[in-house]
Amino acid sequence: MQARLPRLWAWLIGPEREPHPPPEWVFRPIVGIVALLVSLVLFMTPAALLGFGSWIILAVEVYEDRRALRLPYFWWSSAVGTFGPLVFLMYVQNRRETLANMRPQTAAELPQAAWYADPLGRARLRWWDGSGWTRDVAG
Amino acid sequence: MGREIEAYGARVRVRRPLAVVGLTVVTLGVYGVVWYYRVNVELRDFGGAYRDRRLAGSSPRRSALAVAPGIVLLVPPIVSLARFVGRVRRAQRYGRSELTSGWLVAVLALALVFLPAITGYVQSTLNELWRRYAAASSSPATDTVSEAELAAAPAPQPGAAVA
Repeated sequence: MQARLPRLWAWLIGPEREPHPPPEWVFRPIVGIVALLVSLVLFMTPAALLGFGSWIILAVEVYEDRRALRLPYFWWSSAVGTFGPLVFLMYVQNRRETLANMRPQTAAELPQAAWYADPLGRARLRWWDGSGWTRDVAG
Repeated sequence: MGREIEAYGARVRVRRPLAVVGLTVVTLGVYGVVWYYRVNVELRDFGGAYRDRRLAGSSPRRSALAVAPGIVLLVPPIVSLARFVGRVRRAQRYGRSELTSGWLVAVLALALVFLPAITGYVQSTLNELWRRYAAASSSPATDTVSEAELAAAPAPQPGAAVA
């Protein structure tokens, strides 16, 4: 049974494909603001359903972006598809913060050489030489 | 439920986000409170390993009380949730992983139907953080740590030197 489920899932969604990251300009706040205005205007017309078009497009862009960044894509793309451009604006802000948090530290930002708690959990302390962890452990 | 790993000396658990949401819904929120307590314990222990007073000084029991009996007062769960997201983001800054969005948590909390989804979303971002440590400590041998494992381990915080 457990082996059948992944096979059924693979049959349903097809083979794994490469991510197609959207261009960087898509994740500027102005894109979310324009999408919000467009959907609001469309909601006031007889073609109100078209207002959800921008929601779907933004959700797909978020999905592709997160796949390209190798981050979980379910929560953000679902939230943008459900709540629309306002949540997309939140995503844009969170994305900027996240990318800044995940970027490698420069040499000036790295802590000084010293003994620190072992991040690998194999010893009590491990030596940090100012640029990286070493094999020297204590405790 | 989930896989227990060691992150910088703290015992933490990688859980399936959709299972967390499902259990919260099925148990009418009871599992959500249990999850909230357990994750707060993990964050406290993680903060203790990093010698972070704000994380290590948090009280998981008080946090759980704020969202369970405290929900009748409305304000305690909101304050507790806001502080909780702040602690999660603080831990994620140590691990240099994706940051949880407080705005998205607020949207999910305001749309009451999606309240259980908060557990899944936060657990999903925490999994990303814990997996960074799991990848760094996957090999069992102490003296044969590889260059890749050393490189994958997050850098220490400037004020956390022991000697």
